[in-house]
Parts: sequence; C-alpha cells; structure tokens
Amino acid sequence: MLSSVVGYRILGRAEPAASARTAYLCEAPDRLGLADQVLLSELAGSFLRLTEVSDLLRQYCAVASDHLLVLHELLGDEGSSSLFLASEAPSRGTLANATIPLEPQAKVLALAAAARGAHALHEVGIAHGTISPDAIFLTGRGPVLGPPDMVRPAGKVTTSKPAVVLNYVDPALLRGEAPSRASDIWSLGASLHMSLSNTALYPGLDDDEPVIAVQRVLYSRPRLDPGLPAGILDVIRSCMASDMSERPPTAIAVASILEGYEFADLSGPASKADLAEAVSASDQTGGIA
Amino acid sequence: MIARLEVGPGQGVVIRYGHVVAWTSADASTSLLAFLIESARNLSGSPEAGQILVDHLASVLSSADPEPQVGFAVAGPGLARWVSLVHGPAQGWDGASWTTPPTQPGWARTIITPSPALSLNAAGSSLPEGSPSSLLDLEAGVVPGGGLTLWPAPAPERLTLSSAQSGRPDDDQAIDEEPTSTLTISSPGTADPNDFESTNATSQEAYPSATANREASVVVDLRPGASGTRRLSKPALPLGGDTPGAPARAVIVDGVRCHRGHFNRPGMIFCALCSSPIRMGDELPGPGPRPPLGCLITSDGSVYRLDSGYVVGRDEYPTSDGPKVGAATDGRESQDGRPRQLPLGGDPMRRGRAEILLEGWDVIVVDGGSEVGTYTYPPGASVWQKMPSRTREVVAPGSHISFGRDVVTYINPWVAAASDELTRDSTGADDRAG
Repeated sequence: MLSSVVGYRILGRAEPAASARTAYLCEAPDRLGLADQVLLSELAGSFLRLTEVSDLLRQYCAVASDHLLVLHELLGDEGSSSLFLASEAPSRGTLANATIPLEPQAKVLALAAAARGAHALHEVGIAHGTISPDAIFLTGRGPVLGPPDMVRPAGKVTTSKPAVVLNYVDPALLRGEAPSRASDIWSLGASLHMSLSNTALYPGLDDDEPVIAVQRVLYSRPRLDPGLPAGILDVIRSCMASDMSERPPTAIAVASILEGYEFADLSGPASKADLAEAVSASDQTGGIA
Repeated sequence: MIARLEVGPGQGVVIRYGHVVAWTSADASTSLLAFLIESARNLSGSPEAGQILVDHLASVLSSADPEPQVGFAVAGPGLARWVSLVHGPAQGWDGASWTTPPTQPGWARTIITPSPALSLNAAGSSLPEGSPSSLLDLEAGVVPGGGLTLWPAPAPERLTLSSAQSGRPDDDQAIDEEPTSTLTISSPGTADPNDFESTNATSQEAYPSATANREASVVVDLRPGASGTRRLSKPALPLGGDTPGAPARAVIVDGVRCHRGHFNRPGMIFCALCSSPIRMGDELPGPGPRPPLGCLITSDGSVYRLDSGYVVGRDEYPTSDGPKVGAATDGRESQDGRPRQLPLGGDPMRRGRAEILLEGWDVIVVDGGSEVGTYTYPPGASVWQKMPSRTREVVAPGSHISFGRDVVTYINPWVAAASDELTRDSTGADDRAG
C-alpha cells in the first residue's frame, strides 16, 4: 500500500486542482505543528525547477490576505519528475467539486472571496491567470483562492486539452496578451456563470479539437444563460465585457458587488451572511443555509 | 527517447506513437486497445508521456480493474527516467531485473533504467532475440506482435561532448552515435527466473512518482516568517480598465485605431479588441506599440502567447552559418531579455533549430537547418510544403508548422476578428456578453 509521499503520511486521495496531477489528504508532519490535515498536491514540475517554483510561491505566500490558500511547504526529490506542494486542506473541496451541497448564494460568496484573494495578488503585481472554480478552495475558514499555476513554461497561456479549461480564459490571453487584472476579472465572471448555470458559455466547446476550441473562444462571444437572475447576468456581463475598459476596474469591486447582491433573486434564503457563516451552518444542517 | 523498436513474434498487439510504447495480449478488449492507442497518440508529443500515461493508468486501476486477466504493459519517458506499468500476465525486463505484477493489486508501476534495452511481453515468454544492429524498427503504429524490445536513444549527456573530444561538431554526434541501451516490452513467462533478480513490485503500486514512501530530499518552508517569504516590492498591476501597458521594449509599427483608441493592424475593418468598426479613410495608419500577435497551439494542446518570439528545439544556438537562427532580434526575446523556448515533446531538433519571430505585424518562421526540416501548411493548402534549409518565411494566420513530429498552429486575431464580426448579427449577439 502506498502509505506516504515525500514524508507525508497519506490519509486518502483528494480531488487535484487543475494545475496538479494528483492530490492527497495527508497527516501534517510534526515539523509543521499542525493538528489539521494538509493537502499534498503533485505538480508537474521537475526537481530541476524547484528553486524557480519556490521563488514564485514565496511571492504568493508573502501576500497578506485571508482569502488565499495557505501554503506550508514545497517538496522535491532528486530524480523525480514531480514537485509536491503542501497546503491547508480544503475540507469541503473546491467550488468545482464541493463535498457539500452549495446553494447559489454560497457560490456567489465563494466567488466574492476569490475576487478578494485575486485583488490582494494584483496589488502586489501578481496576475493569477488561472482562476476557475477548480482554483477556489472551500476551507474550514471559508472559501479562498488557490495559487497560480507556478510550473507552466514561460509564455504558456493555458491548455486546450481538455477544451473545457478554455471556458475560463479571457480571449485577450489568446490574442497574446499577458494575464492582468482585467483577464482575472473575466475569469471570475466566467467562473460565476459556470458555477450558477448548467448551460455552456461556448456551446460545443467541450467536443472541439484544440485548434477549433481556441478559435471558438477567440472568434465568438460567450453565450450567457438567460435563465440567470438579471442582476447576476449584469455582473457577469460587465466582468466578461470584450472591451476591458467596460469591466470593473478591480477584483475587489467585483467582490463588493457580489457581497452586496440581493440573494432573494436566487433560490434559497435571502441572507447576506458571509460564506464562512454559511459553511458553519452547513456543518450543523448538512447543507449550506 | 527511442532509437529503435523491434516487434517480437507471437500473439498480441504492439503500439508505438512517439516515445510511448505498449503491448497487450490477444484477449484485450477493443475498449482497452482503443484506450491505449488513443493515449499513446495523444501523449506522443509530451516529453513526460510515459509518466502521464502510467500515472493515469495507476489512478484508474486503483479504483477498478476492468480486465484483470488481460496482460498489458506500457512504457515511456518520465522527465528523468523511463517508467512502465505492467499489468496481469505480462512481464518487463530491463536488462537487470524483471518486473512482474503481484497477485494483488495485479499490476506494478516501476521506474526503469534500460541496460541496454527494455522488453515487454507475455508472462512466461522468452526474451525477444533483438539486436541493436537489426534494421527492424516500428516507427509508429499498431501491429500484431507478441512483445516488443526497445532501444533508447543515446543518453542526453553524451551530446555534450565537445568538438575537440569527438573530432566533429556536436550536432553530428547525436546522429551518428550507436544506441547504447535498449528497452524490451513483452509478455512474461519463458525466461528462467533464476537467471535474474526478480522485482517484487508489491510495494510499488499506485506511486505518484519516485517519491513514494520516501522522504523528500529538499523541503522549502513557505510558512509566514520563513526566509524568503518577504513582501514584494513590485508595483500593483494596472487597473483593469486600462489598456495593458506596452512592454518595456515595445516594437513600434504602423496601425490604425478604432474610435476607442485600440491599436489595430492596417486594413482591419473591425477592432480586434472591442469589435467596433474601423471605417476606411477615417484614419490614416500611424505609429504605435505593436500588440501581441495571437498564439501558437502545440500538438499537446498547450497555448503559447505571441508577445515575443520562440526558439524551437533544445539547442541554445546554431553553430553553422546561413541565415542564422537567432540572428534576428525583433520579438525574439521576452520582456526579461531571454529568448523563450517552445517546449515540444517530439524529436529534438538535432542539427540546428528553428525559430519563430515577430516582425512588424507578421510572424516569421526561420528554418535552422535541422535534419528533420521545417514544413508549413497554410490555409487552403493540400500538402505540406518543406521550407528550404536555412530560409525564412512569413506564416499566414491559420497555418500549421511542422518541426519533426511536432505540429504548431498559428492563430492570429488581427485577421479573423473582422470576418467574425460580419457574421455576428445573424447569430444572436443579444445573448452575448459585452
């Protein structure tokens, strides 16, 4: 039986984030002094890139925000084709794969928290570049934004295999522009839509070959679900405006709009309680109130 | 990587695409066979194809084993060494040890050092009588066979011998060296197990990597207060509504602006950024910082932005004359001043390399004299067109460019955005964002 990886005792498998190959729930080693479980994610970067990746992660870790995933350690083993990232465990999964039922307002507030995390990164010069529901972790202290994909080669925007990833990519990045506040805001809007709606932003995209998928995103506009509440649609439209100047200027502006949203529009109670409280309630009731 | 692959006699199926190889016994289901073929095809361009495939298989088998009675084996490169997964009545021999799956879980995942070859075949079968000097070689495809023997290409470090040591240019050495090791894949059973040290693979199941059940050799503390986690001194990003800042060493080109001020390629009738019309005659072309020119999509689906040029292949710089790859500087360097490499998974560009440059509003491909050559397939073409060695060519948007086994597609928004806009009114723009 596989019992440990890079010295971490494995307790079970976990859903890996988009930038990770595999993930495990592990017991924290004594040196961390933590009682909680930790998430150990296997990244595709080789041992040779450990220094470079650790430098980037240290920049992320230096950002003071309660809305970012807490990282503990980066581990490597000579000769391995993987690096391992130990972080706080998302006890309730990710927004894409939540382990508890999430009401729409909880999803909206999770996006708001991720927007706050993104804003904290932006303020110190870091564009995330890979915001999606997979990158929004539901921890015991509330939803947080995970770190950017630190192991991608220079110039790489995304992958088009599977094409579903392209749902969250600002077409500006496919035009060649570097990730920015505006592109992260676009991704927040796309994530909000994909979290609340069952309809595809780009119908047919999931079955496209990579080149066709990129062209579909680049040369067409996303189709928004007309069944979503008008207020939510307005937020999504503004985040995903093709002209960057029409998008909210900052991610924290997006967070403020979402936190102030009148949840009566969405199915579920008209509460504006923040998600941490909602999650606490879910622990008692089995679902987010 | 693979220098040569020899198919052994017997029943079963041998698969090879790129550097991914697989063997299955004859009783494999069509779905298993199709899965292995498609996986090998899809991963053939990845430098870590073996690792990815083995990891994926291990993940699947860990939850359920649909065909426990079927023998099959896969192998391919990890980043550092070869990896394999052997399942059911199959065996692997790397020249030093056997890999035979334990009864439970019925498969084994191993890291291999072929010495000199790797064989995969049915459990209990004899080792194929392959020879490094044989001319038999499966370059790509799916064929009947009872196993396979694989001779890896020379180790990369051998390519670093200096010209003085070898008496010839380094580039030649990669072509002329004899293969030094072999991998064979076949079904287990006929070799005398007493001749070899058996590999007990029981403890190797479902490893995420070579790090399973081992301590990490390096641990970087990322917690607050740890050394190195100091606050950044970088400035905040420009506000979201601002046009992205021009790179520090922006290239100035002629272009036209839409009424919102977005800079476009001359001749565009709609802005590629905001889709607003650009009426002919409204504005004469004037100078401005060139925006990025789109993206490249590689065989493995990776998308790379064209805000700078790329070096294709592994070599840093060409050694011979001709229109020198790397001589041009416009757009070759990224903003940090270093040329970016386009990581491709197929054959390395052995003699020289190719380069992709940005010049004006055009993307240029420069053939570096590589043995495998550079081919282009512009829109509307019916055949690949080989570029003369050491020449350069403007790449039309939508073109495919081939470097050996790797194909890259060039997508440019500064042309097609106009045609898209022309069709938009009939496709329900009201439902669209923006």
